[in-house]
Amino acid sequence: MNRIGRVPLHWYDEYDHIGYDAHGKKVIKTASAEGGNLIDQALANADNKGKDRFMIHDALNDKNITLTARQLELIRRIQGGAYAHPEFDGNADYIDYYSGVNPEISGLNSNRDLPKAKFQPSKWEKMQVDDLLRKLANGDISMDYLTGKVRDMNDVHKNNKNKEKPYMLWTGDEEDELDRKKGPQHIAAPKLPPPGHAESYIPPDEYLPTEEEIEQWKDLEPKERPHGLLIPKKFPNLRSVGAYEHSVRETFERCLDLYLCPRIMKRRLNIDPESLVPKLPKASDLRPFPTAKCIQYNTPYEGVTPPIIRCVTASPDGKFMASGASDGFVRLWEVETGRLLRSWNASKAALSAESEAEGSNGTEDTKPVVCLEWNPNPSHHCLLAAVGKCAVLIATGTEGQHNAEITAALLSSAKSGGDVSSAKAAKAVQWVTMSETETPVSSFAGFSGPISALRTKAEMSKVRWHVKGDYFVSISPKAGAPSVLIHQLSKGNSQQPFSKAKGEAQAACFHPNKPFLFVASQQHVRVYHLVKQAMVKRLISGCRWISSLDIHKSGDHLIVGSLDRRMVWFDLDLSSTPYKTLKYHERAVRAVQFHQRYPLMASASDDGSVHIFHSMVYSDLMRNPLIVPVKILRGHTIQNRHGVLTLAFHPTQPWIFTAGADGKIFLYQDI
Amino acid sequence: MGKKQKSEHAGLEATFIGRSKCIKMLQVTIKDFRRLCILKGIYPREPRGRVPGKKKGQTFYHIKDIRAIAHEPVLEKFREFRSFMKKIRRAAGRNEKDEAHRKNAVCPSYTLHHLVRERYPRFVDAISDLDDALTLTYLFAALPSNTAIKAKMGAKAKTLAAAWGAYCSTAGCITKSFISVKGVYLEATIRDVPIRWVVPHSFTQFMPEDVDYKVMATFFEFYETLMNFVLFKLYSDLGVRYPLPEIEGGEEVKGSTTSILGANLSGLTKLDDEAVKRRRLFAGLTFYLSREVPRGYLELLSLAYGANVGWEGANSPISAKDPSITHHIVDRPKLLSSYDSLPKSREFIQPQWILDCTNFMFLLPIIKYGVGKPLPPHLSPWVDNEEEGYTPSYAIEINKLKNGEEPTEEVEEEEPVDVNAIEAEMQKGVEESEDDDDDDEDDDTDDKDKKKIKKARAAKIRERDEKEAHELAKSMMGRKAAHLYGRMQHGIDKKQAKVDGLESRRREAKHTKEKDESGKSFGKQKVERLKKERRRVEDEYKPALIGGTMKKSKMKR
Repeated sequence: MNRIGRVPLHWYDEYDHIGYDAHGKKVIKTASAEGGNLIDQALANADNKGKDRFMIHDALNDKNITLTARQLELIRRIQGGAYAHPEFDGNADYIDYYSGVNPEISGLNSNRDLPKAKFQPSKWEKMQVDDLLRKLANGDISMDYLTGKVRDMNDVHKNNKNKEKPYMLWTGDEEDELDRKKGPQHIAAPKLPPPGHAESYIPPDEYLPTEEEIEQWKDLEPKERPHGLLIPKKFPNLRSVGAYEHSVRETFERCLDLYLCPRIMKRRLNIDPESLVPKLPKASDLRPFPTAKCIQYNTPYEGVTPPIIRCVTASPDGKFMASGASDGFVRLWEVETGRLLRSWNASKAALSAESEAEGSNGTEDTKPVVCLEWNPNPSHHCLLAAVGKCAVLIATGTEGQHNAEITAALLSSAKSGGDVSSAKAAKAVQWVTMSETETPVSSFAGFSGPISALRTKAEMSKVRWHVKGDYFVSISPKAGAPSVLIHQLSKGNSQQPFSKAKGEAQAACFHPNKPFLFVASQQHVRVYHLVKQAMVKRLISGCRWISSLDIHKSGDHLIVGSLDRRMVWFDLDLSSTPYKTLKYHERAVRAVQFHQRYPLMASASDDGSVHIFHSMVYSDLMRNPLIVPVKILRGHTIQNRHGVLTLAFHPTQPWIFTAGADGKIFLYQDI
Repeated sequence: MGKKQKSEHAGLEATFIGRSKCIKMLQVTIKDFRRLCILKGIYPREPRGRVPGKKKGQTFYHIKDIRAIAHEPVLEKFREFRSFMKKIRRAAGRNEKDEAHRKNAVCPSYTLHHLVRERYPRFVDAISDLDDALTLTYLFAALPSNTAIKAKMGAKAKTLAAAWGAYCSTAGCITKSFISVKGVYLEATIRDVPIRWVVPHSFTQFMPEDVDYKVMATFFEFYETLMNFVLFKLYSDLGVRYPLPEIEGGEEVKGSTTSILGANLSGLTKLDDEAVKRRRLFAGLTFYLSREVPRGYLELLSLAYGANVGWEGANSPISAKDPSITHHIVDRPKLLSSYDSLPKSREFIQPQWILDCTNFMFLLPIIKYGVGKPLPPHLSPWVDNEEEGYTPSYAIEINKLKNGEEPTEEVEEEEPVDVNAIEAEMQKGVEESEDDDDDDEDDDTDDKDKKKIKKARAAKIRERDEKEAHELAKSMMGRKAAHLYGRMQHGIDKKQAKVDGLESRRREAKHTKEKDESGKSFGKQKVERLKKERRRVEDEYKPALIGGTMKKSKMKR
């Protein structure tokens, strides 16, 4: 390379070199550098014209330079007066750098912080796509599904194979799942009952229906028939059994039951019926109580049927017993022997008293003795009978040496006709004296027979002594206000305690040691205080028609018998509702009674039976009374739907007298 | 006073919903609702407690059941199907057949296996609800196809029945069988669950017109899925691939099993003790079923109880002339003459023998089951005679046989104890007990007799006392207890009356039988009468028939 710098080249014309190189050595002129070479140059250029080569001579460095096409183009453009570089656009599009239309392009906002999601590919999309690709590779989905031609691949699968392949549905871990199951409890449909012998193609002969039965079944609905649509039939052999004509129908009906029948979970009671029966103490441990019929008292009668015995009662000493019958006679019996001692026509006495008042027909038919009560005081020997409208007072004549005078004194005022002091009662009752007397049973008594008749306004149904044997109460249910009357025998006096009747009085009794009176209407028992003259309590029996009542000797318990078969026990200290209601008789209860000495209780019913109960009442208030049935006495027959009409306990022994519509009086004793 | 409950928060309205309300809520047609109920196993429930008068007689669904339907995928499919049908119908209406075809290719379909799992969370649940499924499957297998029951369904039912039968015979789980007028009842015990089904007698079934076959078809739709999964589980427990290969489900498998399959599988299966015991009953015996005998259930039963079985027809593993055959099951009035050439080592019996043997688990003597003989009564194995209180005489006879006693034709009548006499004496005794004692001492002729009477009397008295005590205790029952006791006694009495009726009928039947001359049964008499008649006719025609057909009978005589 020539290093002469900027000196004119012609300075070296006369030298054979044209300068010096970097090492100071002469750069020797080549032959081509001589003048006249320009012609050669032009010729060479003319030759190279087609080859797109143009050579020029560099005089300084004394060498030939070949120009490239671009260099030539540049020269051409400069010569033509155009921009030298061909890529330079002289009329470029206008870019609005300052209005911020496209900040990205403008580059003005390019330094802003972009969120990563803006410039990163979506992971979610990748997952979805991967999933689809995997499914596609597995053959779970098809291109049809990806392009949306098919909405559910199951359809495609189904069309491919047309059935689902079974697989192991239960793997054994279902128990936990069961606990997690929600929703209402599943009630499995009951299975069809298995076929019995009758459905056999050769049933035993006894299972084949008779022709009458088949006829009967035709009238019934198939469901009510014992075998449904099937009629048991015997085929001789298997080949003769054809298709069952109802098999499709029966299966169809089962299908209907499965999806249409309402289901309910019913708890089936699977108990032994005997476990419902209460366990009672053994009757033999609760002796004594009457067990066997020992004595029968035969009532003499004329005609075909004996008179109905409506009432019996025993003397307080237990030696005698009196009975009242429908023939109007009061009969006096000796208990031990069964001997009839006396009989008085109470009906006649009552009728005479009634006719005396009305002054009319004296010859009426007989009135039955409805109620008979022996004076509970052992020194008072008299009977009280309810006959017709009257309560007839009868001296029994059974008194001994000591109490003959007492009885005579008691009865004296009645004998003299009594004097009813209160004006109200005087309207309701009259004491009518009887004149006839008979010889007494014992030699000490002055007289026996009806002494006096207390005539009331209406038919009398019940009489009841006070324990002391001086007062007694009489009930004439239809009499209205004076239906309940209290009489005092020693003074021959009568009182009407109520000015207004509350319901139809059915029965009444005195409290044994307090001044209380119990009056039973048809459904209630009212307790009155006689001194305060006020109602204390109203006991709700729950019965429809009370027939009888009796009070326990302690005075705290009351039993009520009713015509609707019930026997109701009230604990008076406890409440006004029953302590116990027993319903064991098949027909109406006619009479109930407590024993005076033993813990016994009895009820007589129209079903001809007498039930004896052990009824222990404890003085301890915390203990409930013990009621145990111990014996059913049967022996009376039922006549005109009436069975045992009355009963009376023996005052000192565990014996019982019963009498009924069959006209018989029995004494049951404990054997 | 508590807070007042709003009506929709508690009580009937909150828990129960009427049917029309359900349909409104789910927005489905009644048809679809019915199908959903059947498939999903939803049934009306009877509400507890009082239903207001206005709503009495209405069917109630539990509201939660209905809500479960609302989320059911099948319901969605039903809706899809409805819109699909609309499209198809539109295309068909426009006569665009290609379009309709194209659309038909993507008909929505549904599967039911999730319902199987949902309704039967455990396998035992599924097994214990199989009774109806099997009965319907066997019925469908026997029914001709119609508009509701497609031919395909029938074929499927047949395949399923065949697979089920094959399983039962292989696993030896058939416990009871009974030929009834209605069909043949079979019972299999799988996992201690008894499954009972009916195989209809193989004759053309009567198809009543007033039966909605679509309902049955819907039921079958579900039962098919259920059966498939149950069979899959059962077979895979055995170690066998299910579905069985196509050949098994071929033409001739209606309600039957193939012995080939049974033989192949028997080596694989592990039987429980009971099944092994059952297998021992017919072990070593070979039955050959004649053409007229129904093959299906008899084959199944014999295989389950360990016998080898051959039959007259294709694919029989044993030919008729095989000397190993011990019992030839025939149901003809008399034996064919072609049977004379068969080996003599076999007995010809009627099919009932197999069932009676399996039910009593005892090889019964074949005398009563011979060909042409009147058969003894066929008893149901499901009746518990002790519970029922009445045992048919044939059951007594067989029990005696089983115990090794001599079978006696006559059941001994118990001599009635002279109860009345004792009772009469007793009543006397109560009244005059003292006198009675004296009497006893007086005559000492037969002391033993006296003692006996005394003992009887004591027992009688005790019994009477107990009876009275019971009656008394009954009188102390409360109202509710007494009512319940009465109801129970009524049921007991009714049952007793039934038993008494049966007993009196049996006595009557026996009486009339004895009355018949020479103690011959009715059937025998008839045969004899017919024989006599025939002889008479033959005698009349004797001169005309010389040689010919009558020759044989002549020679016999």
